[in-house]
Amino acid sequence: MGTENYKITSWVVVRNHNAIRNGSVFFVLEEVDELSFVKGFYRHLKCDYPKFFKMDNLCKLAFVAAELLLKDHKPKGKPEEVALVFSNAGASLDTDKTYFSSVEDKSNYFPSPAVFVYTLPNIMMGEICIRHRFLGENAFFISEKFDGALLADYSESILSSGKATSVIAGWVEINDKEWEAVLFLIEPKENTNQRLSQATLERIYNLSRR
Amino acid sequence: MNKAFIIGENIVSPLGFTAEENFKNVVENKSGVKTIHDSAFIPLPFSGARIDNESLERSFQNLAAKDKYTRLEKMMLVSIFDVISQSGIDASGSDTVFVYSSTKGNIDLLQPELKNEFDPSRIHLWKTAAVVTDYFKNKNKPVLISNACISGVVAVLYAAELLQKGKYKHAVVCGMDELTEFVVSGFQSFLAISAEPSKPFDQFRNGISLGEACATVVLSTERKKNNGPAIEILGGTTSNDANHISGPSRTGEGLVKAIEHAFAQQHVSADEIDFISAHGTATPYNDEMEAIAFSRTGLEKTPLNSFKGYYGHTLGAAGVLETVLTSLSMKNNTLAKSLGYSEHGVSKPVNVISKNETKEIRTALKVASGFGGCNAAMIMKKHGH
Repeated sequence: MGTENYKITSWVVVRNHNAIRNGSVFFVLEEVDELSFVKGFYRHLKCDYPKFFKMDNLCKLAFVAAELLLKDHKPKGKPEEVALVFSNAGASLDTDKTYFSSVEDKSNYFPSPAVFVYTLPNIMMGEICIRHRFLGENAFFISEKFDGALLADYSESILSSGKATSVIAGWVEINDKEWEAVLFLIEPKENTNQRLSQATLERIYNLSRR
Repeated sequence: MNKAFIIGENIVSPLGFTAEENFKNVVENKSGVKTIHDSAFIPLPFSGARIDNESLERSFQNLAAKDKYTRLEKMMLVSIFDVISQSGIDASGSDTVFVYSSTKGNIDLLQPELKNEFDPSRIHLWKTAAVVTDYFKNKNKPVLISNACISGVVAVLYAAELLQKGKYKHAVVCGMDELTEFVVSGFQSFLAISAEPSKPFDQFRNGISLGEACATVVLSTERKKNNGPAIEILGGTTSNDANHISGPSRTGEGLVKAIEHAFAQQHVSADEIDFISAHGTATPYNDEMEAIAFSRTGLEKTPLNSFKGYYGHTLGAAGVLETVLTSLSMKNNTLAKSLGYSEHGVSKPVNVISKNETKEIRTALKVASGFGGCNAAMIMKKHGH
């Protein structure tokens, strides 16, 4: 089996104050900071999920991207057959810095478990699994740049081994320059021309890059 | 499909800098965990296992490395250097891939006194992987997995799959994490750290001990050409509880699914499992959850231990560390005592190893669970005696 047996049945790109789903702009909110954009996006999605406000920035971003990806499209398979394969470059460094500032100054020492729990990048997959009741495979990869080959090959590997029926794969990154979330739903499906391949993933990833 | 055999093993830990030295200390029931009084970590004493800096520096000098490396990278270089010489593989070869697992990597570079010693990119996990892979002159893109406390098991499974699918002939799988103020203060904020060495599965367990280690295995599609036994990584699965981001499922559902799927995938049944290397962090919830999961999967009578009593919880290193110790337990037919266990303290009658035993171990199960609700189960098999 190879990646040609699987299709990208849905995808989202959230970047530069834009949320695009399957090629169409779903939401735009310009001239605000990144966090205000994500919160505006959350309100626009009209999902009532108070836990969203407890999440760190990286999880908030991953959460809204997953909401849009799965809005009208439930992944194929039972809950334990839906796998998540996520990646980024910075791991949880954005929240690591916030957490570290709470212990660095000994005269102002207030380490918080509510912050510390977000100092792991795979927590975003936990949040998405809780929200959508996914019980399948989880893997979080760290790479310097978006790595279409890694995501395509590993997604194919867990699909063809029968460990999963569908895979949500993607990249969710927050750094000094930008916030970006690019998610793909990969399933064995015939009636679409979005074949799973490194090239397709990279073409979609690069869509709204400046 | 190809097979994935372990052909080289190393542990750099407070219990030694080779796999053999570590295993000897484990069999002698020696622990690296002590009560640490050092306000550089947290204001209170806590139980932890720390690698002696002078010993590490001495071992690192043997490598005659020219560039400047962080303490964690030195642990990695020492560990990988050892496995490469043992296994005799060409580390720079195009059919060798490097796979790493870590939760926090070089996070200590956030410390003001270390911040300016290295380029800012050095704090990134991908950079640590690149720098260390580069030392061994390997040109393939290294892979780094950061999936909380199951990272090491995921890395071993990922590497084994690459070999089974014929993508590479050899994989160097290195798991590493350091005892840092970041991690100690964070677990302390959860009130999850025990002041005394941890007691997995015991009635009086009251939290984890933290540790640091770097453990490495070399996997290869061909077993070593000697007459001794060879350990194969058959495979395994991961799962998510979809329950809570910082606590395990009360029913063990996620771990049950990971174990059941691993059995089904590998055509192994519960009664074939001779030994379980449990996660056994010694928090009240984790050990109880695991006991329920073992009970629900027909593993109530299977001998099990937690190696956390010897090393503390080494986070992203733990899965690889415990893979090495399980491999050595299998080759030596030794069930090592679950250190810290004396009075049964979980609601199911699971079989915690209370003293060392000699027993043929043909098939073993390694499990792990972590923050974010993740679980992993991996099956290892022995060929020969």
